[in-house]
Amino acid sequence: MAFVTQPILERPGTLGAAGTGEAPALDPDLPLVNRWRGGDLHAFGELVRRHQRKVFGLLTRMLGDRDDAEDAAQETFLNLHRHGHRFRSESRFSTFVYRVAVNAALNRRRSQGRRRSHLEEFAHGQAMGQALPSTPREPEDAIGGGEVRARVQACLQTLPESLRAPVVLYDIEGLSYGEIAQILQVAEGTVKSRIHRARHALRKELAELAREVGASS
Amino acid sequence: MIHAWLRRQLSAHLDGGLHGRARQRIEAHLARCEACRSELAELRGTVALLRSLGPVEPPEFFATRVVARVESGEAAPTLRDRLHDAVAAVLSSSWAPAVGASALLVVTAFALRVQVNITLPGDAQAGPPPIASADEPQLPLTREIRLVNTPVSSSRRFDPIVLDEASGAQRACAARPHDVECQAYCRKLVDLALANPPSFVRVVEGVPLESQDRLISAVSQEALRAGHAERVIYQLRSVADPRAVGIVVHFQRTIASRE
Repeated sequence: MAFVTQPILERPGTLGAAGTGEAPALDPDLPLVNRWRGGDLHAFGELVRRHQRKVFGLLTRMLGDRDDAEDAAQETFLNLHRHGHRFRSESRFSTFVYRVAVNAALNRRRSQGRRRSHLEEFAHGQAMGQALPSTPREPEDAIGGGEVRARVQACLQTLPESLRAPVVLYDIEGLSYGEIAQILQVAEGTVKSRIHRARHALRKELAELAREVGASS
Repeated sequence: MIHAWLRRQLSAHLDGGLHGRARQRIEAHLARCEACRSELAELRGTVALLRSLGPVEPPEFFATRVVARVESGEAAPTLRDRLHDAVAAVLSSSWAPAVGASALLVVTAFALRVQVNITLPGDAQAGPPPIASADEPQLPLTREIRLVNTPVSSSRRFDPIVLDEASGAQRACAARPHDVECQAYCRKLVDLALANPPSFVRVVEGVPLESQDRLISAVSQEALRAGHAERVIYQLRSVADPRAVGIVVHFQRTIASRE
């Protein structure tokens, strides 16, 4: 049976050996980082262009709101420029960027004083038109539909931040356990445990959709 | 029980995180358990749904706007940043031990002389605003606690928690919450929560999620036994960290269940 012999998921766009202790000389960003540290602002602009999609994606999934994500993304790159000298080349530059972005997301949450319970978050999502019927209108549209994506995003917002960040970084951004541990500054075992808990929580929310998609994939 | 354990491993199995006997066991179990096969399929579907979210395009000219803000001086280091860097530079230099010892002397001298009046939330002269969520159960914490020239006694002085010791003790707490090793570790954690609540929150955060509840329960029982539960709650409320709120709620539940 396929599920027994081939249970392992293909990883989306993994970033190679990042976070596994490989030589940082392999980091493709280092030449630009060195130029930027030498005062070349064009190099910094190029680094922003390289990483803006990743940062924007992460922040959109973390914050659940595009405007918030844009503000936090700008704050991320300003902080990166402000604190760039603290990058020690011990990890990849992209890992450092993610770490600054996660901090920006958490700071934004705190500064907004959002203390909604998960149910309130979900209710807010419904009020914003994010929560949608659990079954897509067309079964074959199970993955591709914008409505489905909106529902998945809304469910993602019901997770506590301590679970949301690792599952977004692993399942959506394709980072390794080691990289995520570096970004969140927790043990690798903690990262795995949180990813598994997040998936189980999401599975309950998305059971119907997940069954259709799981059966077809 | 074995079935429950296997179900918890399904997500790890999906990622190829199980090897050897563990993998053989789960594959054999999947071959005969319809419920677990169904759950594995749902997990696979959940991951596929997450991946379907795909990339998000940033707004047009995003990078140009960021660079313009940098050029206008918005990313210049603040005074706080400069102080942080200066302290970091000193700490990483060969002067670090001398500077650290001097700082410790100053802080200790200050701590022994300072007079602190702490009023718990609920009093008219409440101190720092408590972090409270709307659904957080509230206990009648109205008693005033005064700490006047009362340095922590030597037996309850904060003892830095070594990582190896912490992981061993956490395992003891997870397996045997009433074990002597667990109780000794919890006493240290209570001291840590009183002396440095943000560090306490970080220690709890570093514990694997499946063990956190047991550890917090054990610590709250130890705090209650030592008569420090309300002070720990007060200290945690002063921390600007949402994670501290969850720990406070847990503490309050333990206290409520004992009363």
